[in-house]
Amino acid sequence: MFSWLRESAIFLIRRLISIIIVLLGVCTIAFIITRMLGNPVYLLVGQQADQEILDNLIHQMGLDRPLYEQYFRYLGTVLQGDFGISRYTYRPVLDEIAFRLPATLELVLAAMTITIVFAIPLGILAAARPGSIFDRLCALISQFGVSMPNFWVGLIFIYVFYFLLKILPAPLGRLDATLRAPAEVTRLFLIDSIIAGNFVTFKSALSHLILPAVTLSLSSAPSTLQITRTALIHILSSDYIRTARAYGMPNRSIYYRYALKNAIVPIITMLAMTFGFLMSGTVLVETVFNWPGLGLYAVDSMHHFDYEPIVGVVFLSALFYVLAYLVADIITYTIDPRIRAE
Amino acid sequence: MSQNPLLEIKNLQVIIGREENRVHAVRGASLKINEKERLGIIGESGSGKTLTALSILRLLPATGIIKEGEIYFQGKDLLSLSESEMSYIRGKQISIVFQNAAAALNPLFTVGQQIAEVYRFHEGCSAHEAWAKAIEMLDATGIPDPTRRAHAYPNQFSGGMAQRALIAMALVCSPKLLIADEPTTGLDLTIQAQVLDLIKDHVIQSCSSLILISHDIAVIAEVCTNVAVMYAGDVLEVGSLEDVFQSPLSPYSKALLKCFQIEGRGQQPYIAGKVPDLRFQYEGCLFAPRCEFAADICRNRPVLREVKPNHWAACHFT
Ligand SMILES: Nc1ncnc2c1ncn2[C@@H]1O[C@H](COP(=O)(O)OP(=O)(O)OP(=O)(O)O)[C@@H](O)[C@H]1O
Ligand SMILES: [Mg+2]
Repeated sequence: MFSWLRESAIFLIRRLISIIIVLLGVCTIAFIITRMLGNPVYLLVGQQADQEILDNLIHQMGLDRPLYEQYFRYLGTVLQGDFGISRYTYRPVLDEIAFRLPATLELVLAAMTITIVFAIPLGILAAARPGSIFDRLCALISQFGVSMPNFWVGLIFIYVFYFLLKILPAPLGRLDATLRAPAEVTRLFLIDSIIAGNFVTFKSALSHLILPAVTLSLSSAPSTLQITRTALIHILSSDYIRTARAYGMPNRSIYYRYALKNAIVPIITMLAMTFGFLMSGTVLVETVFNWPGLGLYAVDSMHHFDYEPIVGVVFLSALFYVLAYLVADIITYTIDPRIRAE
Repeated sequence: MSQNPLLEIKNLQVIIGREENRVHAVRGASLKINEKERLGIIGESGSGKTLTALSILRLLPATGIIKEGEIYFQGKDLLSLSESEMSYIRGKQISIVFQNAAAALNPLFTVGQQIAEVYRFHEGCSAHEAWAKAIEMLDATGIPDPTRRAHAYPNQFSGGMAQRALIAMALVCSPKLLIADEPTTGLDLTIQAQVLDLIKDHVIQSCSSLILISHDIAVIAEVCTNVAVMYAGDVLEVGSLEDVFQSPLSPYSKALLKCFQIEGRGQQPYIAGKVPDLRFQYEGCLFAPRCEFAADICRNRPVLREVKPNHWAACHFT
């Protein structure tokens, strides 16, 4: 029992160390890039400013210090979550991110939910009879899903559901303009409106969310379906499944117990990857649907040569990636004794 | 042959593989095994031993089909049973031990769980009883500290231990017939001997029968009472251990035994000439191209016939 605790603790510590290393790497790259973009002082005050003012600013910002000192100071601030101040809005980048993150998170979580609810069961069923009509239909639909560009599908959705059928609202943000955001609990509108018991807001939030979420899920659902299917087919042809069959175990347990448990490991890993990938891949969908999330924020900042927010968004994406992997690692660690033995 | 055989395979034909790799792997093999007999199947690599064994349990890989033949077990034609009827035979009446036990055990379930679940499915007892039975079986197969080891996962077992655990799983429902397909390949020599003894002792004690597949003649000689010699998917000779090893009838058996005497224990037998390409069908005797006695008559396939009492061979010259 205690050895189990100790092993788990060692495992966690090792993962946390590797996460810190990844985040340090991201910081370093961000530091190099922002330094390569030129002296931030010029970006702040323009080329024509008085030399004295410039020197003053340079001194104030510590830019006359040795590079390594600047680097460690930069690290210190970033690791405290201080990404500086936007040169465009003059608000702290962290505040802006905190304001926009829930929108992206809600969108990504909705897309993940769609992916998990549809793609994984379909993948499981397709693997049961490879080559069947159902399997081929799944392959066809996935093929179709991947080959359509995201923004294009989004535009078609808007055209059909908003313009033609008029059953969904205009692609302008998360709520009807006449409604106010529900009281902040999780900052995810769907959940907060349920907590507040506000059905009108819930309906509006849902109708705004559905198209961008479905569009976004098109970039994750097809691969999820195919990976689930492939993983299961591979497992079903393994020696240990043959063993279970050889000793008469019924098909139901073979499929839903012995095989599926083995498939959880690759599926969880893939979902973590998908989550990280979606968190950093919402730009196009947010642009098409005017979704006020991080992707849109990054694009806007880019237009204004405002680099601090971009560093912030990149850092945050990296953070979500590694956190998703950490969760996946913990789950697979508890399921798979082979990983524990490593 | 007055008694009814426990298992009888008649004219089994198996085709396996896709497109250009499609081979006629088993070509009309026939076999019998009586109660309490221990039958060894020998033959070169690729002669169809494994596929014959898998056919008995209808466990061929997805690309394989039984094209023709009958397999009777206690008078029942296994090939005509439904899949669910078959699952009551598997593990309960006929069981199998595979080679490479480490891969044959499910990595995400404890060894005890895997044994207990087989027992529970067939005997319909409580989970508690099944667990006790699993520990009893681990103990019987010589796993030290079975109460604790039952909680271990397969990756915590050595190769020899995994093989014992797999044998425990195969034997947990006391099957009438155990099939062991090269159960000791990949194990250390001392452990090989222990595992073989374990299988032999258990089969003798429980009055059941055994089919042991091996290309090691010494192993067969040690464990079995009877021998079948396979070549290119066909059974060329069957008989008691003494008959086949002391006075082999088929030229192929003779050549095989001679190789073994020259090369010694544990080696894959080698005979000059090429094994027929299994992708094609042949009219004549499959061994004829490599046989020193081959004559015109060998253009017709010889059938397996009882040349001497209880000693069968498929050769025109016997
Ligand atoms: N899954 C498979 N797909 C395609 N061909 C196969 C498959 N399994 C076996 N074969 C072919 O069938 C023939 C007989 O195979 P089998 O495994 O029964 O031989 P074996 O006598 O058990 O040989 P070994 O001593 O090497 O185990 C071989 O030619 C082999 O290539
Ligand atoms: Mg084999």
